[in-house]
Amino acid sequence: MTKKNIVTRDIKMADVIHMNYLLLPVINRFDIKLGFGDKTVEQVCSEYGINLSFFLDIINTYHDPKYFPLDKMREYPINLIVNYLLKSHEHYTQKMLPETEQMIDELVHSCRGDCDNLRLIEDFYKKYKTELENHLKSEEEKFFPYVKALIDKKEKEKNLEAIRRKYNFSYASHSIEHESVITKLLDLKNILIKYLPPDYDHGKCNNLLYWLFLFEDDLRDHERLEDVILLPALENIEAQYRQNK
Amino acid sequence: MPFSVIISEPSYLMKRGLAALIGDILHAEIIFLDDTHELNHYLDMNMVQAVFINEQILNEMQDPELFFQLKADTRYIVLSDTPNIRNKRKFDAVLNRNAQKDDIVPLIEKVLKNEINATGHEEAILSSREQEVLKQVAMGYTNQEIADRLHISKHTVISHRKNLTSKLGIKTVSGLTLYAVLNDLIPKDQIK
Repeated sequence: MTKKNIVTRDIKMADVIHMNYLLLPVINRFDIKLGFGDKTVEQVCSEYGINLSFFLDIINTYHDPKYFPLDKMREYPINLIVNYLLKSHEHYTQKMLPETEQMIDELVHSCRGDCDNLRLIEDFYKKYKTELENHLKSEEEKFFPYVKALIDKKEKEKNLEAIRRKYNFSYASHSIEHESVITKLLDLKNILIKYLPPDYDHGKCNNLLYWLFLFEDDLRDHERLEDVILLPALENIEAQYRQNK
Repeated sequence: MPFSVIISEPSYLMKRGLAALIGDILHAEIIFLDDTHELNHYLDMNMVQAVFINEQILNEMQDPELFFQLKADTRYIVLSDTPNIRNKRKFDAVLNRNAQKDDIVPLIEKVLKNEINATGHEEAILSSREQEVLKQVAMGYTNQEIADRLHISKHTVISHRKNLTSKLGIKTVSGLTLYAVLNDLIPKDQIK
């Protein structure tokens, strides 16, 4: 990996965004505001009290799909990771989902011919929105509490299966839900691009498509973050659990 | 449209490494499933082009031979430490866990050759049988129900579903339903 392709502590924070503007929402999720002048990544992180190494790993995981800091990722306190993931959930429910709905609404209102087709798209999206919200909620109510219970050593029970049952968490349904929320978004894009008769305002449809591409990328990175950082850390904790039996 | 590939391998480094190599060859969605129950469940519910499965995990199954028959169109590659592996006829290839990159890449390319060639060249014209299966899927029937209704085998249904999914570039049932309604294949009020 060349140095150019990776964000390091001595790069100016402004240059990080010039390098890859898709990192903007990721930086937002650390509650970092714009207007950082010529400060480096390290300076900005220290100003906001952010764990520098964690910030760099998160940013680079989004920036380069092959970035894979195995050694370090196991050392992060899991709360740090879970809190970050919760921030992303907030971003999806409060920003991505409502704004997508708004854009679809505008597209429907720009209808010029048979509006039934556009209403079908609207219905499809509403169902999708509910599904994604339920998935995020299930992570917040089952998966994260399970993870937290293990790190806080709250459980007297030593059998991991029993603890998973208690929190109603299963790896299988988790992985399938993850896959489904991304694939449906891909289907929606494809239907808009290939199959929907174009009786609408094209500018509005383009905006929606740009937005859906961003949304899908963000969801994929979010999923990767869980796979690359959270799950290995969890495997580690589960292994310790088994040893202490 | 992307492939789905399952990697079932306990070693973390091994599965990540394999995933990276597959990613270099083709655009694939890679799912990691180590639990045999979860693996079977996932295969039952989804279209999967290839399964890379560790020999140990395979041996833990009640009936490994049946596992290879689960999906007719899926390619099975066994990740093994031993050269003399049993049941050789039942799966598509063996990948030695100590193999080097130069051996692994051609093997993946060979096994998935038909899949790789198929993407991007197909025309999105559905055969009448595929259209029939699509209608049934859109109306909410399961593979077994569709097989019974159309008097064909479940494998044939799965094969039609795989083809129409790849022709249309739509993977989910709700996406296929939307397509079917948009194209007047089924009336809107028939959606379950």
